[in-house]
Amino acid sequence: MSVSPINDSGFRVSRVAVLGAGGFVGARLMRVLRGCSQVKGVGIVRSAKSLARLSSHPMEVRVVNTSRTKELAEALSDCDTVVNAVNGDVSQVLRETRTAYEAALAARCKLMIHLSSAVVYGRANSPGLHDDSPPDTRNWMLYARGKAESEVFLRSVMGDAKSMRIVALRPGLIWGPFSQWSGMVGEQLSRGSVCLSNSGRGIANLVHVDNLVQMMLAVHGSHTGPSGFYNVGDPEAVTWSQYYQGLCKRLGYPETHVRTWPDARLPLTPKLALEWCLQRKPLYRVAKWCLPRVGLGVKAAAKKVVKGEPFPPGGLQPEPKSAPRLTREHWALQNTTFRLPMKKFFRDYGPVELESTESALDSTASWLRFAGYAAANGESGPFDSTHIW
Amino acid sequence: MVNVVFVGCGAALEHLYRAPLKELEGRGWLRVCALVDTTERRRAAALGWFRHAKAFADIPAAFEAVGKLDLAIIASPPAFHAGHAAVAFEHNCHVLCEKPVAHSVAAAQKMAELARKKGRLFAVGMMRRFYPAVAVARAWAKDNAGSGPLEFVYREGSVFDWPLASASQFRRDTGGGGVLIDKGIHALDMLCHIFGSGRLLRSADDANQGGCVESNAALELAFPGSRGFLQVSWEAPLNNGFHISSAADELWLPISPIDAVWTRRKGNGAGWRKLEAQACWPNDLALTRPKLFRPANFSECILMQLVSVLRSIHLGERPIASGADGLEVLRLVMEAYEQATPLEQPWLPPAEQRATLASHWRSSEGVNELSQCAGNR
Repeated sequence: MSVSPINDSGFRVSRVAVLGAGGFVGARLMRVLRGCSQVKGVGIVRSAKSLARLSSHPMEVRVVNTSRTKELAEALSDCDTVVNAVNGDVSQVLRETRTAYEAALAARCKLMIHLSSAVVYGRANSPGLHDDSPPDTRNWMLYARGKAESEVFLRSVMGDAKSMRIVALRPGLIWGPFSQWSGMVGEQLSRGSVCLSNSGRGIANLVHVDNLVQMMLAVHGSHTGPSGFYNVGDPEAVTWSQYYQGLCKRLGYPETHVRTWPDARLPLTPKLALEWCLQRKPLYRVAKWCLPRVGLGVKAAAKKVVKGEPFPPGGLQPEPKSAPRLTREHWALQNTTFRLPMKKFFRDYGPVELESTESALDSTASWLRFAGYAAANGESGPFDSTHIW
Repeated sequence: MVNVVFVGCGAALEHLYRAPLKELEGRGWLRVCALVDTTERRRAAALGWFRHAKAFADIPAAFEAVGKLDLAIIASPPAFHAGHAAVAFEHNCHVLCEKPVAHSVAAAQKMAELARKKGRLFAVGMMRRFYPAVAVARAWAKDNAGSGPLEFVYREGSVFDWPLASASQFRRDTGGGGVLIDKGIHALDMLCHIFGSGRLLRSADDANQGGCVESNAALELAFPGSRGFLQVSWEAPLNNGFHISSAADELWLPISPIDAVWTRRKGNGAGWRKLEAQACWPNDLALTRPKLFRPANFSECILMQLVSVLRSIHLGERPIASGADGLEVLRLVMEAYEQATPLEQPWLPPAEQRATLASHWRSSEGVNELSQCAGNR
């Protein structure tokens, strides 16, 4: 490993490699690291297109074939810590985790922070779940199975890698500015299409992106913290209804815009069957192989079936007469029963200053206004650009 | 038969032009004779698609070896467009140049001047002009022009997902800019096509110093009889769509799919009504009564664009998107860069907001970056 440089204050600057730096979490971590004088971020992306999210800030980024251990190890050779925030092919999660681990070990990194996911516990429907409960490797979702298998793998090697600590964090839904889980709420509110299953009482296992970044930095900054698996989340528990209502109010929509359905039914539809089929690895791979080979007409038709037709903003769709037609993933999320405990993280990595839900809702709503999701306001309607200038 | 040289065999050839060019080869209207790219791997891949073609590492070699080439389609990185077009014009070749027409106004002007001197066609790849929904919006704006000023808002954002072969797009010296010159230029061309010549009122973006390019940009614009704003992002979806409002009516199109348009009457509580976008384009080279075709996806829009270029070559018609159109849009983009102020990002923590404002690329240090990259504008 090369010798790390010294910053202006005479402190040694540690280097954090961010695998998947072009993704939502990776890019946010890279931007936060720009403001740290004692830590330098080194972005690792697999293709040139991933540089787009990073292009507005000067950053050290390396384009590397992350599926090749040797190549990746070379790119990591001057880094102390590796953050594995790769969010690539859902059928390759285990393979990518294994490659990241082997490369970090070969590069003699001291710490690997692996971003797992709360999805390894599915709907979290047992009150006894704790940080070391075994993950569900038979989950219906391919992504969840990949994350669970990765955890099993990392647990098996945790003892072997004596020179490198491995800390796996399990965030739930990562929200905040530029997050798909926040954009989704803005989109549904502006289209008038919100309908939450189970009266919106399900637990939204949320973690604001900046809170997750602070937790990663706490792990990086601690030289004594142990290897292990940790549930991470926001300081307060929030239901889906509270999450939607929090943004609804801030964006200027009436409370009635967040409609709910009283029970947890999920109507069986052909779309759900298709979704289930695509979560089988062989079928997923066939579909992935076919995708670039089918005509644009077929693709457009498939998109229309899966995503529905785009609809202009401003209209409220009629009151639902049956349970909402959610994807199975969204239905499972909206029917999460328990919040995963986080005590272990704070025990091992000390107190971390986290943003409160209220303040995180404020900043997220501010981005959603920028993105054009605020309620039409009087005369100006969608033509109001005061939030930009 | 028009002999074609394709310059820059990256993602644009593979994902946009490959199928339409093969279709037109099949009709016997053109033949792809030469493929130019600096990378051997891409040249080899492209050779597999066009059986009559030969591959070259640079454009002069193609003209030297093949001889008569009638049309150069230029899809190389923007910083090379002017140089490649100049070689083509010098060999009396027509040019269809992908957007942006060049990475500076001065370079684009030189291209237009050369085309004029040589009496060659200079067209620009602005395929959205062939979207049926855009044709409907254009007609709607004309119909509603008399009812007072129109207001518009255009938002287009998505996580960047174009399979680029190199990182040149993300550096100001080679890409010329970021999301505005990439996605925004299509939007600006649509606006100019619909409303006429545009004028920039305000511009903001989030690029920092150090050769960075913007991943979010917003412009306020005025056109004859209309005014509004445009916002583009490479980072996340926005509330995407193009919304125009007159005193009595509104029109909305989602940009994708290309033929979807909705309208509604204002004030009477009426809901949105979907219109059938029926705009068609000539799909043969007949001077009179050409067969018409309504494109249903972007590949068919590229096909229509190529047919439009072939009709210009054979029949002397004005191309749907000319080099002059490309130049006008590029001028707006460059003006936006010159006037760019830091984009307010109130969702960031206060310290980060201050740092972002201080390091904006157009602050005292950054101004030099623009002049360095844009050359003698």
